[in-house]
Amino acid sequence: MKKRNKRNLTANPRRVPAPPEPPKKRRLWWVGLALAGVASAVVAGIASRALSAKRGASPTYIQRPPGTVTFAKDVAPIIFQNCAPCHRPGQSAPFSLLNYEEVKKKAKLIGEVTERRYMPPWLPEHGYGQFTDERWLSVDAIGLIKQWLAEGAVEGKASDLPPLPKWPEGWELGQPDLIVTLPSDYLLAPDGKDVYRNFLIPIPTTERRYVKCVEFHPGNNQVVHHAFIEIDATRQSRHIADQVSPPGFDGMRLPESIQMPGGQMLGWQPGKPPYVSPDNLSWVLEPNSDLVLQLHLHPTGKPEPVRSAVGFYFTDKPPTNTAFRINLQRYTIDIPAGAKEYAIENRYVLPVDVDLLRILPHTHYLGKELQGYAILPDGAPKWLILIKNWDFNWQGDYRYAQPVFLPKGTTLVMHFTYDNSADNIHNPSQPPRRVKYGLQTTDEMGELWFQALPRNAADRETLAKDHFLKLAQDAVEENQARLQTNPQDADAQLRLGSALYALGRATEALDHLRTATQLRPDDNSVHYQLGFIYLQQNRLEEARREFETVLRLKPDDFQASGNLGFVYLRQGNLDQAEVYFENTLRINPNDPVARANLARVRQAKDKAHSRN
Amino acid sequence: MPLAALVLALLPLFSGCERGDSMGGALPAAKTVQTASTIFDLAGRVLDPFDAADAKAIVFIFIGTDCPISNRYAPEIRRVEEEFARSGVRFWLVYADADTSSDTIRKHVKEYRLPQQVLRDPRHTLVRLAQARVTPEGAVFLPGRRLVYHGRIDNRYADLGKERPEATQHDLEEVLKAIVQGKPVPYSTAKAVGCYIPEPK
Repeated sequence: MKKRNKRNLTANPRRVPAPPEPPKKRRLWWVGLALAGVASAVVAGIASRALSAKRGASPTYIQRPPGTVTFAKDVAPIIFQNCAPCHRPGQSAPFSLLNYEEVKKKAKLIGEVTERRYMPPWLPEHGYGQFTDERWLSVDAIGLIKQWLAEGAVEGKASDLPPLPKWPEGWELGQPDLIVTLPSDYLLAPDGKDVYRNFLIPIPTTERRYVKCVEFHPGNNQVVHHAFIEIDATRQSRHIADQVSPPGFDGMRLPESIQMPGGQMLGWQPGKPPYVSPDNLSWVLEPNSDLVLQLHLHPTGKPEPVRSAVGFYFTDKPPTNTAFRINLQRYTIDIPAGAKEYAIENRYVLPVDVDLLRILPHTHYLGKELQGYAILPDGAPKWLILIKNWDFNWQGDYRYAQPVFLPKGTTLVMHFTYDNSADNIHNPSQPPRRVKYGLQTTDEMGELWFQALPRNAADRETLAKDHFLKLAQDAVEENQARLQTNPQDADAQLRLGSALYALGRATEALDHLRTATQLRPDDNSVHYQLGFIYLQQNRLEEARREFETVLRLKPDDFQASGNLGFVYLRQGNLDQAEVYFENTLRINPNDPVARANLARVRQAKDKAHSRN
Repeated sequence: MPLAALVLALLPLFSGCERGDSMGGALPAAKTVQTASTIFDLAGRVLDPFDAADAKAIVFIFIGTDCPISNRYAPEIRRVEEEFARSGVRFWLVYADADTSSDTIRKHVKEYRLPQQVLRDPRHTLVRLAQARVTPEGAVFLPGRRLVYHGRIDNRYADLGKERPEATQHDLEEVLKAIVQGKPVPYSTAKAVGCYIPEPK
């Protein structure tokens, strides 16, 4: 374990530094896999097959005859298609690029930002995974703009000018079935650092709905840089939201009950069109859920009101299949101050066939090069995403143009590097300081999410179970590492105990959990975990004591209350069982388990009555 | 346009202080320049912003109405202006895009709560004198029309799209501090990042 963690901190022999030209890239893949001990001849052949999928774009610009490049004929089609969707009135980008005058005025800037590929904003390297809605200019387009500029930015003939594309007004997909809007404006200060703000809005649905699309309206195009759309089907987030002054609350630390449902990745960034799922892949929205919007807001120099909205589009058809989100991550990130090439890696072997639908890489401001790739069962490598110059400001999820089929036995690989030196402009700490894993933007994260569609529900179940064990295995390694640094770390003892129990190692689990209770006697989550394991082991008296302790420490813990009711039910104490199931339902009125158990208790009591 | 021609002819005298992003270096040579009568206030009146005998320094800040980087600097411009105006430093905001109307400028100044001393420089007389390239960019003149600093306000933006969470070097402020304290100006230029000032028609 220690060895593996250590290796993660050093240069990886399989690292593929994404060379610019395919032949070189093939060679590096080849070398990497040869190091991995795979027969080189086979691999070279497969590698070239895999890489031949790279889209053909002319690697160099072929200069047009002098004086022939005009705005109307050559440049307008590029600008209208790639820039104008955002550079038009009412959209996110700062100025309009809808005609010759407007484009000519910004021509020098356009030439520079396109050549440097700062605009259009698009992080993935072209050809390392093929995505929809790629905001990416070909070498030819960039060359045309450059030649046009060099030759004096000529307007050309009006007859050559293409019409402007027709952009939809208002909701792109028409009137939504349900619109959920922030109840009041959030006022963003004119100055200061970027703001991360979470907003919670109850969704007024009274029955289960099937969602085929959500469309996000930022409510202030100038300031919303990106948004994550999540759902909380419990009341956990509402408890937090109620404790702070509305609207919303700052930060990135959110309850675990907040999720993107059904393996979805519901994100928005400027210029990203809404996506409609096929009917069979709709996702389930339970009634009385809360919408949680996580917004990254960018001050503009003046006070800005923000009032975002989400439009829901429903379908009557329940899904016939549901995607699953595979997470690769590292919690052991610990980057020394000044490190320029700190690396993390994680891998997961697929237990079933899947189609990859989307991918989402995530780090904070220190992320440098982000690689995601697959090693197929026959050893052939396949790029899933490559970002050479990560930029937190333009993060997002990417949908594959065609689902990427990955057979059972494929290894998914995440390999990220970080730059924690002063040379990294985005480094939030100057001078740099040691940075560890954490949710604040001054901490770091390393995650690669895959939206994977298994063949059927049975395969999804297999994947979910296997993935859970993988997460537990990761948690064991990582918390063991934490405890090596500090054996008194109660949180690590708790997490290690929980993970060990998930892996079926109950005796070791109980040891760590008992240590955790000694370190932190008043931590209700440790007592809960202990009670849960005792209950599973039918050690009812011990379970009862632990759940009672939880309720003493946290009287509104409906799960502990429900479990205590269950202990009494097993012990045949129907009166006490009824008390605690009723208590659970008082705290969490929608709790289906408590409701069913209460019905069982009352039935049993009725039977006992009639017998008497 | 003989006056503009004169200004252009004098430009090379200033270029000696162009040092890219580097800090330090010699002060530029003092030189008196005739100001062309092409600088206006928002009412369209010609004025000479150098006509301020009592000012310790005259600062021009070139800004635009549709440049997000320039806009994001509005609070910082206001802060620096408030800090030094009381020490005898004269501030002017300069809008150099000939297409931007006085009404648009008035609205912009109000919306972003910018300082009220505003100039229009549609023929780029000041742009050339101050060697301004982009918005936002500052230029500091000492009495006698000596350009002692031109360039970025601070180092928040390292390049387009390369932005620090906050500035670590406040160049314009450092320069003005030195002037107010009677110390030598620490450096003469630092490359500004922003939106190009469009060529005059």
